[in-house]
Amino acid sequence: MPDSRATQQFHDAELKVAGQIPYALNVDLPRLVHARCVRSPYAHARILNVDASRAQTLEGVVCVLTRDDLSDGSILPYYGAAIKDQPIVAIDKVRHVGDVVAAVVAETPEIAAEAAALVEVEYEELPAVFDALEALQPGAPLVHEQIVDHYEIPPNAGIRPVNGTNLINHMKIRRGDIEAGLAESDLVVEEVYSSPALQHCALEPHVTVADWEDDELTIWSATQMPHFVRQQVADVFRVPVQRVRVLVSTLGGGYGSKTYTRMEPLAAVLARKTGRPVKLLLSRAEEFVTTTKHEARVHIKTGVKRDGTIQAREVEIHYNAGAYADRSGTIARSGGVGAIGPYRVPNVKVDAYAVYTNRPNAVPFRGLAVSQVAWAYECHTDEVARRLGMDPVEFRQRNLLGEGDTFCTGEELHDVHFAPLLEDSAASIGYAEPLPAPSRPERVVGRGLGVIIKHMGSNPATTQLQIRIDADGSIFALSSTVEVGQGSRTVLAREVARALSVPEERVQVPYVDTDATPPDQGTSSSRSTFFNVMAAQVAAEDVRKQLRELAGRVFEVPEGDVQINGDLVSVPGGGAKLPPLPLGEAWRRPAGPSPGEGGLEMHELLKLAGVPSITGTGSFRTEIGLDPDTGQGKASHHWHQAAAGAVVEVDRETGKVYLLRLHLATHAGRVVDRHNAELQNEGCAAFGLSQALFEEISFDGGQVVNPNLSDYNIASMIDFPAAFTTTLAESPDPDAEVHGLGETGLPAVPPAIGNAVRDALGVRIPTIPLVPERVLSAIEGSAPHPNPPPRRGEGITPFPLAGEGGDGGV
Amino acid sequence: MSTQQSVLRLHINGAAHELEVANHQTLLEALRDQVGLTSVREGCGIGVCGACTVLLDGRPVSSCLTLAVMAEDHEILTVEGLGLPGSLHPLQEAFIAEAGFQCSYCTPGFILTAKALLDERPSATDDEIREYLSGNLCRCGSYVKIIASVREAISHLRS
Repeated sequence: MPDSRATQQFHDAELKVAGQIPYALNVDLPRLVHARCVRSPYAHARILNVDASRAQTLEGVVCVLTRDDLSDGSILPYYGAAIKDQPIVAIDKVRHVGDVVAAVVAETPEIAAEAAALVEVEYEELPAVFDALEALQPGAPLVHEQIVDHYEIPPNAGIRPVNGTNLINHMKIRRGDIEAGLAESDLVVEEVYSSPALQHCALEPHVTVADWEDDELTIWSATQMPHFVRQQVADVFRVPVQRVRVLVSTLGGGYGSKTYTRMEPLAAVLARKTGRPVKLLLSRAEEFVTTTKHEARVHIKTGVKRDGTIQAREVEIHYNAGAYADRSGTIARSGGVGAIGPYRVPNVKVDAYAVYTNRPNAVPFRGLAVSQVAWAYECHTDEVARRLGMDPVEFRQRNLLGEGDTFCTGEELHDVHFAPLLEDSAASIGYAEPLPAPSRPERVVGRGLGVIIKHMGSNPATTQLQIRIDADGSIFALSSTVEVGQGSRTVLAREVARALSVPEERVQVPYVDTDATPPDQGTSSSRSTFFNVMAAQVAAEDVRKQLRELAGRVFEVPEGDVQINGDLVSVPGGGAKLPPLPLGEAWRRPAGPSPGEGGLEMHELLKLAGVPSITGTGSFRTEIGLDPDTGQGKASHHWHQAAAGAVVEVDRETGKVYLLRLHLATHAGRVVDRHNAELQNEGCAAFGLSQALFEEISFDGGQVVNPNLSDYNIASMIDFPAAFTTTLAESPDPDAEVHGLGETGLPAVPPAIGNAVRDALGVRIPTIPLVPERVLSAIEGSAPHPNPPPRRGEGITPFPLAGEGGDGGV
Repeated sequence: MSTQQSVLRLHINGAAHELEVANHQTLLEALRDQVGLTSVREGCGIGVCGACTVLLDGRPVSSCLTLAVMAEDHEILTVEGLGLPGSLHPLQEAFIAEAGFQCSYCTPGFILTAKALLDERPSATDDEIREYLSGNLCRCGSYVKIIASVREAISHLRS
């Protein structure tokens, strides 16, 4: 009888409900001191002088780090996920409001904060640029004067920055003949959609503790990428990675904000300078200038035949990357791949640009790059259907990718489920039924759908997993996947148990320690569960191979005669030399009468052989490759697929959008843990509705004006519709590939809500969030509420004549 | 900065603690840094997110906005006082049964707010749960299962 209270899952759950999770925030060490950043008030300025003398004299201050500390060449003063363009503290200039200029270390956080205000920095203000399109204009202020041959860029970074511009990367897809495709179309619709910069708002802020002991550095950090941090920090100090150890327990949320390297290099440099352990904890306001989501503008144009067949789609995307490149170059690539949507389109042109500006750094954010383009193409697809006079669901069904179809990258798709996911969402919101009546006369009701395709990220990528079996009977799943709330420790224990055919409660999952847990690309991009499942199977096979060798030696039989069944290592054909007592007592005699049949449990075999432990190693790697000039090739190992449906009521007097119903359907492949899988969908729904209705970082020039959770609104329980439903679509094959769910559903939600608002109001709002002010101004600029579009089964209404029925399209 | 210190007797989780705190020190800082109750966590620092919720005489307060000196002569309850692994409170058990958390940074605050709700209204409806818990934010978005957890606790405590 399995004991669910003995599992890793239950153990973690107990700690969570008792508030006993050992977050990095809790790390406390003898002689610990506290750091505080000095930040730029300017968006773009040359630094003339940094004077730390007043700060240094304050009682309790241990040290102040300025650019002078980075100038002797002993350390590499830059880091960065692709281009090493981010200084540990600003060197020649500051590039965004909130850029780090210096850092103070003091005995208490209060003294550090007081001293930070005493650091005097003299600036010469420079012209700044905040918009990605403006930043690409000739003569725009340059955020970095030189990029190539100035910063370190690994040869396989997959990006092509251009010196003398603000361009980090220009990603292209060229398929078919876009001009001919548009020319042959009966209707061409052209629109622009945009979505703002957001903040991840993990409730646990970025926090890092760094401690040097002799020449060994230990870092406790809230990071999604421990091995990446280890490498980058080792690069800073020009030491072998073995000298840096990164320890990660559970994160209090990440959603992309804790990917790559954030505050770890600064904390490590401060610890080196002070000779004491240093804790660097960001305030909520600092979070807003440390990591953001890419603001994006998407210009999209689609040509269709009168019968509703899509002929051509052209998309231009500008991702505002902020002051440092981080992963923006490859984010543009991912967004470009996803920009056409899950449709069969013979003629495609995509141009995705990642552009430096004087805004805070934009980094990976749940739904990586795809939520920006999905907001555009799913609203746009809806709009194209309406202009054709077709039901939006029927129009989508006519064009959705199916089994064996060719995607815009030229790759053939299999395991394709868009049509049933869309059907499921439509049925769940009662799409075929009459619209519910509004609750008040000033309100209108509408419903909408969205369906999306998303790559599995971080390609190419590798995960290594180890299974260690000790002679005392312990089994450990060793992985550097980080528990961020997704339940990775549950998944690891369950899947290693599954691969070994042993009970789940036998498997323990230690926290990440880069000295002990094997290399992993990082916990991001909805890839960890899938990669670990695949690696676990290889590692279990390695364990069995080692056990067979060992058993062959101990039992004096050929390895091929050894059978491993769950925990039991046996020699079914007989002939095994029996182990001596007392270990022989562990020898199990099943039905077989002949001596030498039966077997030993794995750990008993280790004891008998005098081997304290064995470790099986499994790796899993995916390879992709796209031609940089055509975007043709392979973009993902498999594809994430989702659809959403929403019913809204909009108050035409106040502009408030009430979400009455929300449904989210994702393709899950095989579900490893139902509760955790559902939680991922529910989390995607919460993020999605929050983005559709509330979230936006507001800027005054380069200054964030709402860097707190009062003025920056995230969805609360009351915003989440009571009528929420979700579908985890599973394959009938019990060994089907697991599909990551961390981000899969999110990009479908905002366009479903946007399309529902369009349906209710009869006017398209191309920018999220759909806050009352924006809704009201759209209502004021629109004609009275028109008749709803035709529903399925009502047939296609006559094709509109030129100039009719448009909302500003071509 | 000159700071005035006070010696406080705080009643925390049923035990008396004598602490020397600065007058401007928050209850959050006193509980976390001096008593070591790490279930009490700052999220927003301005009383919006509920991650630092503790019960003061049974009523939820944001400990980031409460000065430690204001908590003297009141009974303070943190989730450690509700139950620890091996001896969990039915509400905590209900959160496990219904998986009402992901990263769990917000979980102690939710559980304590739910405790106050159930003490006040043992048969709270779903709408009452949603209303009462709307001052606690879960960025992971576990709301569906948090409501289910509280519902489960209600039916367990009733039986």
